[in-house]
Amino acid sequence: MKKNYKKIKYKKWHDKRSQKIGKKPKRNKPYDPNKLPIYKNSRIEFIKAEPVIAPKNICLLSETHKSLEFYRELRRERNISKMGRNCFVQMDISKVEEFDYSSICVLIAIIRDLKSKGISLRGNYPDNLECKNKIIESGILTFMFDNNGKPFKKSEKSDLLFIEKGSKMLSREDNIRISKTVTKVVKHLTGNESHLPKLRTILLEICGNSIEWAETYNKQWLFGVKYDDDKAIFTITDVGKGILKTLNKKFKHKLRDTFLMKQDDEILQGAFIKKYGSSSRKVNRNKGLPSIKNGSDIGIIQNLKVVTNNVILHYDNEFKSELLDKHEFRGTLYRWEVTANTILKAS
Amino acid sequence: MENTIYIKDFTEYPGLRHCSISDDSGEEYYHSILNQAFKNSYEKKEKLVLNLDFTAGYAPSFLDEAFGNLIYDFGIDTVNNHLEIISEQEPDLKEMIISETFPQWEERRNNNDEPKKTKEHKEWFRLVDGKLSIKNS
Repeated sequence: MKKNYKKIKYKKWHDKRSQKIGKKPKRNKPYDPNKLPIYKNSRIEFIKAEPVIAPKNICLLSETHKSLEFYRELRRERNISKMGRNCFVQMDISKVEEFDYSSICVLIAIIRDLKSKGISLRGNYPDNLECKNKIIESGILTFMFDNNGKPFKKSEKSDLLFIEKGSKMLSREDNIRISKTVTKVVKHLTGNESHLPKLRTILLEICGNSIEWAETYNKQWLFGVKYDDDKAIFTITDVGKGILKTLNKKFKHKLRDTFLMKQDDEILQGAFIKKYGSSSRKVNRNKGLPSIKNGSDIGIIQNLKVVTNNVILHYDNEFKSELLDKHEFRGTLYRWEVTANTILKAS
Repeated sequence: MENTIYIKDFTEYPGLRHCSISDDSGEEYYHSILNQAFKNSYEKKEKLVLNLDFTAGYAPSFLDEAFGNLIYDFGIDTVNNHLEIISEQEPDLKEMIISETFPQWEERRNNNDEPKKTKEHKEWFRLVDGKLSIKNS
């Protein structure tokens, strides 16, 4: 059987064998078992990391740079504390005064990703009373623990907010729940209860992309809807690799993009108009992203925004799209709005 | 003579492309319903009418996998002669299947680029040199 030199057993075997035959191991550095991230080793340790302090405003769409920096810190290994075998990240949101629905969705996606690695997220309440109530209403505390490691009291499920999480595959139940949410949105905005196939098509394509390509742990995705009076805000979030890292660019495209000094935001826009191939390298693939863009162009959805890697695209106002030089979002967030008018167009 | 089938009889909520990432996928639909139905119509020299209406809506990948497999196993000419697609609620889906899925999968058929099977399926039929043959995964 072929030996897998990435495994501890064979790394040691390889080192010993190299010594025996008088050759240097091919690796330059000796194998260091402490290199494993602290949440992966089962040793009893006591490591106290500083809490990650959230800025005043964590609105992802308006204060993108600051909020992305905050999310990045939450996911940094150096901010993981360990008490015995319990790993956790401490978050201090006491100074937060403003947040938006997209930031809550990204936070929940990060919490779930950390949880799947055995790391819990501990935190406190904002000092600002109005903000504190909004945080409680948002349901985010259901996924969190207080400073003593105890779960927060579960908030009553808000009728104004719906969050559906899935992993590994799109089960029949997930699928039906997504479809029923679409029906509920139609009823909320128009008073009539009916399917909206074109909107469901977009949702399924994005969920499919998250499951198939995002490479999150357990293929997790998060789908949320916030009901406002005259609109519903949809978000789909995954904290995987991000679209730009999973694009399959042919050599000629790579060469041309480098030669023309194309920025990542232009490349991402190209992916939405089928400029690059699918990661599967099959001719019949690559229909997902263009169908989302098409949905926005023909008015089935409005105010589409996409945050992925180092780019934020505002399809409602392309001048606002920008390259986030220093702050990268590992993952993808799609956010758009549906109104009675868009439903009319989609029907 | 023609035989009509509805996708809504398979599920009201069609899923994604492959069985490995979704329940009620395009791959599942092809192997459990469409291949057999099309083979029967081909043998009886009748037209298979496939109605896409009355579901909650489709992911393009579901349709691409279901109809693509059909093209791969029977070829674009045979499918055009024996299949009629009806989609009154979403006519653009029919357009997409005919103008994109059919030629793209015919290209895959010509290149012997076998469709991915993510689950073991019972035996299915393929037209090879004008004769029906049985395939298994």
